[in-house]
Amino acid sequence: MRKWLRCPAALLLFAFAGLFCLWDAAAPDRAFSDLENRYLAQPPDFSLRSFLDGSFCPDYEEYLDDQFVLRDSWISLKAASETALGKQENNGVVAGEDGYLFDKRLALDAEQLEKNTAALSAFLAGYEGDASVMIVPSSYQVLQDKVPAGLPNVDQAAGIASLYDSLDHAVLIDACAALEPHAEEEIYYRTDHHWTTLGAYYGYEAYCLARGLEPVALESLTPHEVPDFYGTYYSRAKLRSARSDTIVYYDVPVLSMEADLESYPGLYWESQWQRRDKYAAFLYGNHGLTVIRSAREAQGEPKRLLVFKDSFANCLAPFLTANYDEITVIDLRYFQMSVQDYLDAHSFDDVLILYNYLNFADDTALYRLNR
Amino acid sequence: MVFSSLLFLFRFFPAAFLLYYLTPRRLKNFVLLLLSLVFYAWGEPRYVAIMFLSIAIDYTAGRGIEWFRARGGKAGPRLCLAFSLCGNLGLLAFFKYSNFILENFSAVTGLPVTPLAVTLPLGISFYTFQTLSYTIDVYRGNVPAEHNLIDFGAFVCLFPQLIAGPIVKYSDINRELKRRTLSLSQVESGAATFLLGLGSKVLLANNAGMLWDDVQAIGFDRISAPLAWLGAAAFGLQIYFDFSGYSLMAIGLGRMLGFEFPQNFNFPYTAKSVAEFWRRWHMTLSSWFREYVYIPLGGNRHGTARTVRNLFLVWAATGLWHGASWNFLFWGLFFFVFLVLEKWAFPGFAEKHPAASRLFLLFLLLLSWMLFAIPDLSALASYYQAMFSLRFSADILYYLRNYGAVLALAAVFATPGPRMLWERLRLPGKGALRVLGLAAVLAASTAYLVDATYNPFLYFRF
Repeated sequence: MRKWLRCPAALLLFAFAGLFCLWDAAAPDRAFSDLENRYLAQPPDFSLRSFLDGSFCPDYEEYLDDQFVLRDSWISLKAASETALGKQENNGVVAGEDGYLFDKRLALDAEQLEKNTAALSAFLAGYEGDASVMIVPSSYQVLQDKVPAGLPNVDQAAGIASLYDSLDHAVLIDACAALEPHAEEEIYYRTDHHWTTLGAYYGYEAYCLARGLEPVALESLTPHEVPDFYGTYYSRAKLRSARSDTIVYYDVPVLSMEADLESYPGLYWESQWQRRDKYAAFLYGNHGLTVIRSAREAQGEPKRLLVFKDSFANCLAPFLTANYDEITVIDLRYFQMSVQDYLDAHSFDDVLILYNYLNFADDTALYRLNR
Repeated sequence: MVFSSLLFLFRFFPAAFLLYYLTPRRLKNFVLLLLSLVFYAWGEPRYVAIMFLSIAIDYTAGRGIEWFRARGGKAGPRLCLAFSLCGNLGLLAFFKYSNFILENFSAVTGLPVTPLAVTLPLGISFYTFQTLSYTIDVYRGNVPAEHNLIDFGAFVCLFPQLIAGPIVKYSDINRELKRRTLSLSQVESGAATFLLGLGSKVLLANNAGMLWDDVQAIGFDRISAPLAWLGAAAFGLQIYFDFSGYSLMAIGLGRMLGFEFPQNFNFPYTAKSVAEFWRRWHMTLSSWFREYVYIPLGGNRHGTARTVRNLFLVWAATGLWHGASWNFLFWGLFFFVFLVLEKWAFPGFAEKHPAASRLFLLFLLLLSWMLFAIPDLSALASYYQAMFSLRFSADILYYLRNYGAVLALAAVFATPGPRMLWERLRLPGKGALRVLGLAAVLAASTAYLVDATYNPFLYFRF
């Protein structure tokens, strides 16, 4: 033993590697990580074939990484070290003023964006009547004062403007202009990439203005607050020091809500407010097809709206029940039917296409608009 | 498998060393060979066959040279040498260069050519050079032919240096292959060296590399001139710590197994001239080319014209060794041009003006690294344009704030300063401080590996 004490580096390396190896092998596997808000990889099945064709090894390494003992503590140690080195970013998320976390998006996939623009443009050309398009900027675009100086992020205002320039036969809603005057209010979450319910309300207002509808007054609705929301930015940056958000939602009674042929008692998934991924409480998360029948008083012919959307629309949709009797919400990522067949079989008074700009640029399901 | 992974650190490493240390001496090389094959086969098992082929070629060639030589005559040994050269260079040419050659053939002749579906086997550039050195040394009579196939296989496959060097010549370790002693002080020094290499790679290279990745993502037509220079510096530091870190890890592991591998880096960024830089950068590769290409071509002993020709050939080959594309060839020739200028146009300049020479060399190296890093020549032109433009924006503020500390730290560790300071330091409990420092490096490296979004190996595919 005394001999070994003269070799502290070797002792350190062997003991560290050996003990963590044994501990890691003995520790039970976790299914889900609350810190990262995702499912962790499980042990892959070994077969000679999967080993020889090279598919086993990367799976096994992913499993090893995901299930490494004390994973959350190691992640926190790395985040602390990044902060100590003066970094404002970790894993593609940037920490700004006032507890805000932002996306770091230096470039877009130009090819995908072009494809998506073409798909939307073709859809609008084929649709009789004018659909509405609202592309919502991410928080860093609107809250520029809170973003670290010099971060060369993609200019979403310019991107949305150039997208709008290439679209015809549409009512184009300038979400940037609707949100910017409210930059000092809580219109985006600090730890999540979505807009808040208040931000969505301003988007809703802009939509109503463009469509000549009377927006429901926020004061007339009963708010509820859900504290301790840690969103997607938090899951990526994993800064334990981050401030949690509060989710606000309003009582909006409906006659019925059906998502992917299943009925739900209301617009909000009450039990989800208690879980980690609280934003998924709006409309019970993302579904391919959701149909909402509003509880508003009948005013002649029922008015119907069709929304193509990403998750940004989930907290906006409740407001729309004040103006429409029936709202059909389609999330193309999960919608398996033909959109064109669906349009032929149903009639709508209005169509709204609502996406966040980054989601719109990245989306790989928009081609389904024309299928 | 790479060293800087949880898989290596917390599975392969403890298991392999336990097994190796418990194995009786006469079986150690056999166990080492098996372990190395597992290490190599992980992820890409089919390429083990190519390595076996390379082993078979050179084992046969070595034995053949010995056999023919014992019976007199020169043709036999020559034939064996030619067999090894053709075999190894043929493997390398096929797997590394065939598509490059086909593409250019098609570009010149206009004939349509379908590229071959070959991917580069891991480490082929390294192990073919190692086995070649063996056969050439046997041919020259510098070392006796290896009779034991297991020992020879262990030399070629030796996992510490298998996939990214240093390029260990057979004559460097042939005695250790037969009889090596393993002292505790060797293991201690090996462990410390390994940890320093791990930190270089995971903490310095990866972090510097993230800046370079950002610069590429932003786009060369959008970055400001200062950011273009910072990006080049970040890449220079990334590739240095990436590669020297890997070499240190290899040397450390080798030492813990009882082998002494040659040094591969000696603070290259402190050099005063291109010639000196290459005596300090990837030293085993430059010495390989000197010993097996430059000197056999005649070196500098046949007048200026022959010397220039030899330099040209060596640097073209050095460039192409790094990758099968034009930018690597130009990268090699870039050094050729400046070596020639140094030698004949400005002899003695570096000694007279050391400070200016150092700065000028760093300037040249930054330019050369971009030539190395950007294979697309029009993208390269737009990068140089950004460097020499008057484009200014606030982007530099963000990157200085976020990467300034990491890059400064890396720049300091690229000089012998910290080491000299440490050696001069007189202080009680220095030993404890050293262990604490190494423990911090190990813990931080583990943390960065667990939460790794970025962990490439630049020299991995060479």
